[in-house]
Amino acid sequence: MTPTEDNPTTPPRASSDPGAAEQAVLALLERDDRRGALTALMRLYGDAIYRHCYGTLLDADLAADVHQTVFVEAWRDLPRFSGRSSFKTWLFAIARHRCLDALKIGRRRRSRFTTDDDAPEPADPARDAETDLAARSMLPPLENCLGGLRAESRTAVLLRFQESMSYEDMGKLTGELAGSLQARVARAMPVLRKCLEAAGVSL
Amino acid sequence: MAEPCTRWDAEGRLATERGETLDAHFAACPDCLAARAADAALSARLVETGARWQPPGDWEARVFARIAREAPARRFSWWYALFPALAAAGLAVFFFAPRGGGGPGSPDPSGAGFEVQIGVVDGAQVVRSENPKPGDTLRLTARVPTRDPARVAIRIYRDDRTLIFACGGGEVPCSLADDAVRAEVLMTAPGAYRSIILTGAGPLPAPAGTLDADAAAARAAGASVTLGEAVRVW
Repeated sequence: MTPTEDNPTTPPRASSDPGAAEQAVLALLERDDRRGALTALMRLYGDAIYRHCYGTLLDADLAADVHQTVFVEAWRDLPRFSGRSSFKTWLFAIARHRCLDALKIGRRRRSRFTTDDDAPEPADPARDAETDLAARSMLPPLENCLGGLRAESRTAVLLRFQESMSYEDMGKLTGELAGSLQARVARAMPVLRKCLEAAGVSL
Repeated sequence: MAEPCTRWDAEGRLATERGETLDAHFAACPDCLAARAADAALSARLVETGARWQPPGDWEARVFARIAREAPARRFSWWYALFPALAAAGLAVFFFAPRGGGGPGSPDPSGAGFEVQIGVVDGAQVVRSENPKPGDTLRLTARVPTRDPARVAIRIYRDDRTLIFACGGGEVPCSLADDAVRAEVLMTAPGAYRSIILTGAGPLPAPAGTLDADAAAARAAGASVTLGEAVRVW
């Protein structure tokens, strides 16, 4: 049974007016329809949150798991949603934390397979880089090149260009200054471009 | 052959991002125009690629299935179990008492129970912690069987890089009441508050400045390291 079949309320779908869609979600919450509100949020932002997770993690299985976790957490926290931010920003903040957690866990998991149990984390940055490089080599060129960026730069580029998020909103997510994020994106773009050119991709 | 102009990469892109007016050079320089066009193409390619990153078709049903599976546990949801792995292993944890001897309410020296809980408190009351906000207080409670200041340390970091609390390991002790050690920490800023517990046979290293550095230093000193679940303050 799908969530929609469970729920007689028709949730708002992706709309050209995100403000109205978010108001509709708030209205569902005010009626204590948490299931309807979550379903609406999944329809509104599910794809975008997945893009964010996949773009950060570059691993489809991990991204799918973290993506689900984001909405499970949203379900838990919805009754306490204060409205101090948009639902979109709120969900992206949850996603950011969960993705960073997943990246850390991945680093720690790799460090367990080193021969020196007492090695600092990451156990061997060069080895981590090699592992990442081997995994990334299986990806399409753009994803491979994105994987070559630091996670925070990759995330900033993707939020900016894929989600059209303003630097101010990005700053709310990351706790960084908008100007710093602008500069980060500006630095990452030529790196990406040159990586793609080196891979034979013409832009 | 002349070197290609790099002004677009050096300054044009950032100026454009900032909404500043570009000088006449950028309208005439072939290298800058080419770089700008490549950026636009890259931006379009990012959008196009992102459109292919789609979640599995049944993901919404999976979310609700997970919610249904986790629902019974949520009856106790205002507590966050910080160290379930430790509890499951029944690992004995030693802790420092602010006063010597085992008076009334002291931990049972022979007890093997270990429990750490965390919640948001409001005055003397523990209130909901499902969605903690800046200004909320985090309460950490550890039921301990015995005490040894040199063998255990609990630290809490914000975003893994700002130490906001430390006790044990020769540092400022937590308070001891009834059968538990308690600490309360004001969460002043948004972020992920994560705890780390260090246990070792000998003295533990002092805080190293970040959670990862702490873990590395503890491991280097032969201590075991357990990370708690992050409590997200938003």
